[in-house]
Amino acid sequence: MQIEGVKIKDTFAEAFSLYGTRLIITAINRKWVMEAARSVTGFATSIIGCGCEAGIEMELAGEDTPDGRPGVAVLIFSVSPEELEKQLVARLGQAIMTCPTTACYNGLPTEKRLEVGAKIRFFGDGWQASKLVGETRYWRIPVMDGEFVVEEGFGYCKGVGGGNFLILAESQEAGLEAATCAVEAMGQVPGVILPFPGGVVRSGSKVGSRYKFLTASTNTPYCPTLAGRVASELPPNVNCVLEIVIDGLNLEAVEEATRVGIRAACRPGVVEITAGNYGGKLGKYHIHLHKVMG
Amino acid sequence: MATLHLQLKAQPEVPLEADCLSPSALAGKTLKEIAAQPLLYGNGRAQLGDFFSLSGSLADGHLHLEGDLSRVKYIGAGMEGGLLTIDGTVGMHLGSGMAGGEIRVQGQVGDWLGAEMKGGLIWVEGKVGHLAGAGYRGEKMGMTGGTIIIKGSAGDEVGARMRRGLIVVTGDCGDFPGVEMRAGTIMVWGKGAARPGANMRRGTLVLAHRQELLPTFVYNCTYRPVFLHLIWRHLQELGLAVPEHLRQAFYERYLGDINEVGKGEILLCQSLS
Repeated sequence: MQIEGVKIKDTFAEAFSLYGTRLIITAINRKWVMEAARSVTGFATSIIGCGCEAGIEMELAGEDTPDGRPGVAVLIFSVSPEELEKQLVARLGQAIMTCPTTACYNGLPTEKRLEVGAKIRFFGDGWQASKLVGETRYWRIPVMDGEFVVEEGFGYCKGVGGGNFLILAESQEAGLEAATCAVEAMGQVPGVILPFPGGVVRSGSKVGSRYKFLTASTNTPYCPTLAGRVASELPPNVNCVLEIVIDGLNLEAVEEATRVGIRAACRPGVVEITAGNYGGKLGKYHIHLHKVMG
Repeated sequence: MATLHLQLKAQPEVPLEADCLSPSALAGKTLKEIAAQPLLYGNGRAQLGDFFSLSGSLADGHLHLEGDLSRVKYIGAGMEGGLLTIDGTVGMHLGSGMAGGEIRVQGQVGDWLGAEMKGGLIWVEGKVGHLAGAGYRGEKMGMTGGTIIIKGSAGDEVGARMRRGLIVVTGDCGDFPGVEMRAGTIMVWGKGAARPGANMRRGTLVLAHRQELLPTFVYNCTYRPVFLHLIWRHLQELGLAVPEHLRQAFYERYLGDINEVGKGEILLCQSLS
């Protein structure tokens, strides 16, 4: 298969089950809501190294947020509901509650809830107060600029982590341009995040290492500087590979983001689009590139 | 929509207690059975059909009452669901102990509206008497859930001993709003009266007009409480337009009553001061 002269390899991305949740963060203006969103999603690129994967899903206008202020939807994924709750309590407490003027609400109305506000409230040292509005309980925690309002429970669902595709380009410039276009296009797809910096990974990894203390190491078959020296997967004219990793609340969203991203990445200077997998033996979900793009 | 219409045909000379008058209490009954529902008439007994003419059906859970019901008490008491609409003046204890559903009134309502209510919505287009949402004498708690919207004025002791829920009075209210309040939220958009929040332990009293507070309330700060916007949105979803000046205003926060736990709050809107 070819799109705009770019070869789409007949392979698949291997993705895994993760548990995901959506936070709605609001603040007095866009500057402060973005500060909070960037902070809470910081150092959350890979579950293996960071405990969770997180990213900004979309910005929200005041009319789309619970308190009428500018907002951001953030998705956070982890390996289990317990670990997800632990990450949420830590990240909300350290990165959102600390940020001036913010409030944080549940953005996933599922029946099962993670106790987040219910735990963070104790920071109020006995001066925290709850407010039941309709059927939803919020906690008001006194802080130095007023109050931090946080919803008591946050919904979660089984999602999909580790959807991916790789852009094989003639040059670093061409690869980066294609990846940037893909990320921008994928940003319009609801229900997904791209957890790596700017949505792009340059240090893709393979399972295992020659060193016993490492569980993963650099993706040697896709490193241009090792082509010819190791078993390489790179065509001769490829000098840069960038990967885009996708986490989503469901498989459909991840597939849609993959489709949109690959189409946007098919630009001059891109030789091939492929995907990372483990032979289909590890991940529950197989996202076949030809099927998605068909 | 199938609605059961009840028209008052004979004005009771003494109070009539009609706690059977709710969609949930009458659900599944034939018109004949409904007409035979027992009422307390003074110290005697009567049947619903003695005072009301009946027509229609309760198939969609909608009961509509018409007439001067000022001597009919306990309408909608203990109601669990459905829609009860009333055109006319209503007597005491409307919706007391109600757990669910909606009551909508076009007219005045007597004392003890929604007393010890547990859930649901009561919406009154008119003034109401004393002790709306309150707890009965000797009881520890007033309403423990639900919402009461009063588009008019209210009497004394609105939300007395209230434990949870929301009361909005768009007009003026009488003395002691939120007296001995445990939790929940009361909003008075008109002019308030004496001693708001007396002996309140927790909960929120939002007053749109400046007024003198008891000395047992301590000024904290002036700010824009974010949580109020959650309530404004909730009210708008219920169909109540919130005045823009209340949405945009700064509020002075007072904590009290320090005679009690001292964790209640009065929020005084600055814009109408």
